[in-house]
Amino acid sequence: MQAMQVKHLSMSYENGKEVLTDINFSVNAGELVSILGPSGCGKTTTLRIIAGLQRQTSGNVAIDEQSIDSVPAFKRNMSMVFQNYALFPHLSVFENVAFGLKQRGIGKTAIRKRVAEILSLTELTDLANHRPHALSGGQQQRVSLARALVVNPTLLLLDEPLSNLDRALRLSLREEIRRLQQKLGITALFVTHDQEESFAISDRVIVMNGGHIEQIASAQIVYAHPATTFVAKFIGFENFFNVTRQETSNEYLSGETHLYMAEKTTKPVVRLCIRPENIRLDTSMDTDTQQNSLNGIICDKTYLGRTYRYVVATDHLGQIKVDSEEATHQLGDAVRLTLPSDKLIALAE
Amino acid sequence: MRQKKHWLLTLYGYLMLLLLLLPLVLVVVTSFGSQAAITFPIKGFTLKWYANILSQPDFVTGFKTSFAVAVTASFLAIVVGTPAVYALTRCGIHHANWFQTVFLSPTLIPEIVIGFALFQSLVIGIKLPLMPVLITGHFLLSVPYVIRMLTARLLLFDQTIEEASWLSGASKIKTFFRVVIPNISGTLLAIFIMCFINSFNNIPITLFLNGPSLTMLPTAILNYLQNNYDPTVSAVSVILMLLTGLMMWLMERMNGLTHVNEHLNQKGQN
Ligand SMILES: Nc1ncnc2c1ncn2[C@@H]1O[C@H](COP(=O)(O)OP(=O)(O)O)[C@@H](O)[C@H]1O
Ligand SMILES: [Mg+2]
Repeated sequence: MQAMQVKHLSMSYENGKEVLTDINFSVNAGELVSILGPSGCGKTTTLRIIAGLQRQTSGNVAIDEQSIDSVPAFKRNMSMVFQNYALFPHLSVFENVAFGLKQRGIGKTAIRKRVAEILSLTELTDLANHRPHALSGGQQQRVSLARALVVNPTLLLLDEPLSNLDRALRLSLREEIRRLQQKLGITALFVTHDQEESFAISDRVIVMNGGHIEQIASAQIVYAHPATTFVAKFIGFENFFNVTRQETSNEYLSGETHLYMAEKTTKPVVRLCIRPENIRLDTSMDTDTQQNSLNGIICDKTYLGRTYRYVVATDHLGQIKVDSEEATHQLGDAVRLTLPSDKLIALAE
Repeated sequence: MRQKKHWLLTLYGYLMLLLLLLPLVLVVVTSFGSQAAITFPIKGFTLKWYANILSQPDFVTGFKTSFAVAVTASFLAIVVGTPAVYALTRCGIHHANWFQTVFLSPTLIPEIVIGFALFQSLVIGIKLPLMPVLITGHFLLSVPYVIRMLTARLLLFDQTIEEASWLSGASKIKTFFRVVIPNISGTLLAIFIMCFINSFNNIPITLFLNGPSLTMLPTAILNYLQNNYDPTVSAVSVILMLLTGLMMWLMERMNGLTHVNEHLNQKGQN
């Protein structure tokens, strides 16, 4: 069931710049959907409009098919976790978490019981009487999460909640958010610019760019079948070849080079792409025309830790980036590249 | 960012401090002198001038009236100023800068002119009693302080905290009283104290707006000085200094101004 829908949402700020263009998506009940996109693409604006903190220029937001555009933020029963925690500085951890329940006119004993429950779920019981400024960043964000969950929100909104934390903490809190969201059956919308974070946490990913949506799909599908060149670039494809399709339909021509794809597709194709780690790098200088193979000279080599990044200059396809665990190739070596036909992805735009 | 300072600069700093404090030290010392006129150095030690304060009805009633006027005017300035500043910093009002200037304008007009204008228009013109006009004058004196210091504080207050409160189910009004006010209460108290001190010590406006029926402490002191030159005035001054010092100390302790100073410093650096 669709818990929340965004329909034809557009937004321009006063300076006339359109920052959202016809945004459409929905979040199903109990689902965690993430919005993934580079900084400035409109993620925060989208979230704030859904929360009622900002007013859209056109389009609408609906909960259970009911438009909520005329409902003020404080009556929407949504919760938000902010990047900078935004805890109430003058209240203790307990009072911060109890704040929303108090506004809803719930009795003292019921509040105490419910807050205690959430504090124990988020492992904050020992900190209940501390003020926010006495807590570490990770603890503050857990309090913020507890404050957001305690009211059992219709929709939980998270705006880059992990971006201010160091890596180890990011990973553990990410799992905690996912665990609590699933345990409590909360419907959630999670904004991030971090591809790994988005893939790890969500049921579905919305990839945004420049105020519009590029793709909505599960993490697996986005990873394997990026819908657009932008998505492909954003999730780690680094080699792009402009192509025209030959009539046989899985054969493509990029300049004078023939490239073959394992899959046949009927959609219009303008470009093929491949990840650096999927290209094979050999020293043998076979000249017999093997499918998707070409010669090149290594013109750059960088150590990346697990692999080496080689940049190979080819005659017809320009510079190609290849990641390989092989350390033996040297600058100036002549090599042979193979682009496996099942690893090439076709892009329509 | 502690730098080693040049000794000449240090010397200069101490000289300035001495220059500022010397008159105060003189006042304190002379207040204990036993001669009938203010002299320095003093000959004998006495506390009789302090006792004499209480036998001057003008000083006692003056103190009471000045205190009441200062408290009322400062309180009104905060009650009126706080929502105005909140609106200016939060509601995206057009021409907010222009409003700022209007609110701050009393500081640009010589206070003596404000006093005279109030006297002319309200006392002579529409025959208002002195007291409300006096309070109005001191209120006008205080509003710019409220605007300036509170703007600095509210600009530093993270707006996402208010948004978190709205989303938690508190309306904007409730958020203002339950989240904003508790977090700026230290600053409000500090502003109140500054306004109070300023109003309590004010002469230019007060001078126009008192009369036989209304005695204020600063004017009582001036009047007393016209007929007497004994150290009673020194003694009054010492008490005022102690009172002011106590309030400044309170203000420091509550850290009410740290945010404001930070903000003003940052602005200065840009
Ligand atoms: N108050 C504002 N006035 C004008 N432009 C704004 C305002 N807030 C954000 N923007 C612009 O809107 C775009 C989207 O911003 P935002 O939603 O914050 O992006 P994200 O969260 O994805 O980084 C950016 O280009 C930003 O410059
Ligand atoms: Mg953002």
